[in-house]
Amino acid sequence: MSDPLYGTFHDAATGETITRELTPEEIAALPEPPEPLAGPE
Amino acid sequence: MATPPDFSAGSVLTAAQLDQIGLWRISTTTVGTAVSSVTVSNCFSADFDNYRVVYMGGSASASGNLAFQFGPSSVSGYNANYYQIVHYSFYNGTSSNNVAGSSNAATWPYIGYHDSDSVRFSADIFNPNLAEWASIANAPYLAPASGGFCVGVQQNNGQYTGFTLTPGSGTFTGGTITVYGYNKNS
Repeated sequence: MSDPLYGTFHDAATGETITRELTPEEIAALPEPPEPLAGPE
Repeated sequence: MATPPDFSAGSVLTAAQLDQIGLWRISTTTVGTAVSSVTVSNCFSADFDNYRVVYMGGSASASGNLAFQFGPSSVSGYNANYYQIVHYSFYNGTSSNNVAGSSNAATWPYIGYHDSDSVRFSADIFNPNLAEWASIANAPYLAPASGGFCVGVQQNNGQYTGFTLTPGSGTFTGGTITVYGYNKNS
């Protein structure tokens, strides 16, 4: 079983910030990592 | 009282003087530990047309490129039609004028950089809450061996109220994301 993923969520209207486990839907919505830029880093 | 913006201690500022303030701090977000994303909601509104977002600090578990996506997901097209380029050159002078682009993507995928030292993202966001294309500019690309700048457009008329930042690899820990609005009071 893979480790859970977490996200921070801030609502500017209320000033509330929470960090919680991401839902399966939120995990599915995470963008695919892009190709690395060319050249040494 | 001295002529603004040279203020005297104890002076009462008028509404007209306060309306001249250029940048207004809208929100600050303290990023949690080992998070795969950070979402700031309800920071874009009709109060401002243009914004500055800064996340310079914290750290990341891996090195990579930071991605930006508008939200919420209820806005049609929030995860498509992102176009950007990043121009970058290497500090040692061995390679200059490199360009990488991204077309019709789900995010702006090369809009900042992160590594174990810090997350380095700062950008102007234009018109995110207006029913027209949003754009991003004045975003430095600050990698350990190369530097440059990023610009892009999101070709959708969605009226967004927030955004999500994600690491290209690993997770973010700590630091503060600050959202400022460019004052449009006349």
